[in-house]
Amino acid sequence: MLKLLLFSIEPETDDFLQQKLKYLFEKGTCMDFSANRRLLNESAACWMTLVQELESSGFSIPDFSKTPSGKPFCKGNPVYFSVSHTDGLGAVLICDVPCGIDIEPIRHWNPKSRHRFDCLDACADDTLCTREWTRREAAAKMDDQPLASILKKESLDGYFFSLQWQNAWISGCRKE
Amino acid sequence: MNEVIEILSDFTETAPENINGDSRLVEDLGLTSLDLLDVITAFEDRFDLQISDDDIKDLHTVGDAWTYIQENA
Repeated sequence: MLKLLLFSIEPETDDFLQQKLKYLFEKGTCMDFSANRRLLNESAACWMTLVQELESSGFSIPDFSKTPSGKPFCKGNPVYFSVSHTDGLGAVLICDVPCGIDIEPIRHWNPKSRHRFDCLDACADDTLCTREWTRREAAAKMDDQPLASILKKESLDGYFFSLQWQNAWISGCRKE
Repeated sequence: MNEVIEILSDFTETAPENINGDSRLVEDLGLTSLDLLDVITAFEDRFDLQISDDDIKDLHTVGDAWTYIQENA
C-alpha cells in the first residue's frame, strides 16, 4: 500500500487555524508547533490531511510519537507515514512499510552549496540538483537518519519516485 | 550573535528583532534542509570557517549556531 496526497495550502484565518490545532491536539498528533505562522498553517494542513486520510481508510487514529531525532511515527507501526511542506504546497505519504517524502521548490543553487552537495551526474543543472536533493532528503526521513549521512552516498536503498509539481520537486521512497 | 541573526533574517521571512538564541532554525525560522545548506555556506564565508556535514545536524537553534561559530572560527 502506498498513498501519496498532494495539496495546495491556503492561508487560514486565526479562528480556523485555532480550530484545526485544537482538533489535532485532541487527536494526539505530535506536530511541531512553530512561532512562524506560515509554517504552523502548513504543518497543520499536512497533519489534518494525514488524520483524515487515516480515518477515511478505516484506520483507527493511532497513538503518535516521535523518535529521539524527532521523526513522528505511529506507535506499534500499524501504518507508516511521512509529511513535507513548502511555500503553500503539502505532501503526505502513507505506506505499509517505512517511507519518506520531501518537497522543495526548484531553485537556483549557490555554487558553493552545490559543490558541497556534489552528487555525481545527478546534479547537471539546478532542476536535477533539486530533484536529487529531495530524493536524498526522502531517504533520510525514511531511515530516520540525518541528511548528512546520505549527502554523498553513491546509491540509495529503497523504491523511489520523483515528480515535478507547481515548480517544485517531490520525491518519495519506501523500503524494499 | 547579531551577525548570525542578520544572515538568518536575510534567508527567512523573519525580522531580526524576532530572532533570538532560542529560535529553532527549521521549526521557527522556516529553513528547509536546502536553505540550511545555503545558510551554512553563508556562515562559512562570513566567519571564515569550515562546518562539516556531520556537525550540521547538531545545529538546531540560533544559539547552537552562534556557539559553534565562536568555538570554531
